[in-house]
Amino acid sequence: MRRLITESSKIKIVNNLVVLVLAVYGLSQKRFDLEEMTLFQTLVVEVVAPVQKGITSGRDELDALVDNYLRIVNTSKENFHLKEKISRLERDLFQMEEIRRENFRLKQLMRYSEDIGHDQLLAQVVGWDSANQFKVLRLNRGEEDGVRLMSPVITHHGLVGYVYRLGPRYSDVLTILDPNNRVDALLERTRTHGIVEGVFNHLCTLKYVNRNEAIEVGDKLITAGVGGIYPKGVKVGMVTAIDRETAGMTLGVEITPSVDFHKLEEVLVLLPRPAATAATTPPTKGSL
Amino acid sequence: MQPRLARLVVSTLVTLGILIALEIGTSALLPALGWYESRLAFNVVIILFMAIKVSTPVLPWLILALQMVHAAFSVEGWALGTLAGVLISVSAAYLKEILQFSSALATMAIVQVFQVAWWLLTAAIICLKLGSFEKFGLLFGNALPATIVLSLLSPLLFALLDRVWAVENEVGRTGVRV
Repeated sequence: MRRLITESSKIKIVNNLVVLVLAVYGLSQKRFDLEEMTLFQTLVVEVVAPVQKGITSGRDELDALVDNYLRIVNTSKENFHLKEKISRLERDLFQMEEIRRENFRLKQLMRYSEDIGHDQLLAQVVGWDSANQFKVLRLNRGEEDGVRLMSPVITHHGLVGYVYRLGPRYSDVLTILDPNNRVDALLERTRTHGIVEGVFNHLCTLKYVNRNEAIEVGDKLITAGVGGIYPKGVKVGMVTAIDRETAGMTLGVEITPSVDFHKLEEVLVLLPRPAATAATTPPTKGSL
Repeated sequence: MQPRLARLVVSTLVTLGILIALEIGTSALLPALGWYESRLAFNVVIILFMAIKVSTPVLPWLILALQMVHAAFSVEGWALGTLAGVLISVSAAYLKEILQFSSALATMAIVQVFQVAWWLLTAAIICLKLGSFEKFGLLFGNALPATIVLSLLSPLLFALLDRVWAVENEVGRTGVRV
């Protein structure tokens, strides 16, 4: 018995050590700015992403269902059928209104995409990253649709991020809210350069701005077009606070992104044109 | 297949199924209902359950399997959670004898303490990986609100997993041997 317990403990220790070593190796190889999807991940994503898509696109039906339930609880038997009829009509109306809004949004996106000068692909947001440390969106478009790693993702409001992880039919986008995504940006009024970095909570910060720069709250930021990922001139956000009390040579600048990530439903993926593909270079491995 | 091994395989598959359902819930259903601010890390609670209540030599491999599935839902990847999970499970093994799941409140408190330890550890590992502790507070603080919700839900989740892993209440205090 004693021998068995000892052997069991030994197996436990060996298992713990092997998995710990594997995890440390995996972590050392892990990049927070770019990742290739493994075969296993591709399989799981291909199976679960349609479910995520179904749930996300079924939001309106779900809202209507909750509304109906609340109404039915407070309705007497006499007017039950009448209420149901009204509810059905309201739902139809609501869905029509949703279709009208979607139509409006898509028209805006399409109109914007004509000006941007890239090939574009319309994609729908089907999921959000399940960890708090990362601000990542999942799109219903993948490699089969022509999406490539590091393709920029935008809306007519501004910059969303870039394709970080790619599956055959789905892709994950590292948004500008994520601290691992750094955008070389330009203040539209003063032409001052800086690096936009996510700080969670739907805000970003503008780094490396000399404290002598005459920037003001309300100044607009656009992409500088440096670095080979984002095209020049895409709206990034607006300066909403400036901390001039910081020590050192640079200012603390808070940026509110132009895109309302709470209301993001459709996006445009900018596709590389054949000549531009070769020019795109991934960021350095050591970067965050 | 030996009965013990068969139970281990079945329980593991059911647990992975539960994790997938919960991950879909937190990555698609909750945002669709308007909850955008923080994600509920159910993988952490499930791994804590395994670490505290399931006693098997292959526990690290089970944690690895759970994290591999979690990696399909998060760019966090499998390695970070596996590292944290195995370290937490080793420390939980030493504390098993004194952990008393006598009430829902006790379960919530224990889960909360372990979650805080988990996020302190993962925030520290990420900072070590980045070579800077500048974002330590941000990473740790960002995870805290969701841990409270998860702690409140933990008695339900533990009760479900108790059934999946056939953990008796009395035995559960010191962990079931699979």
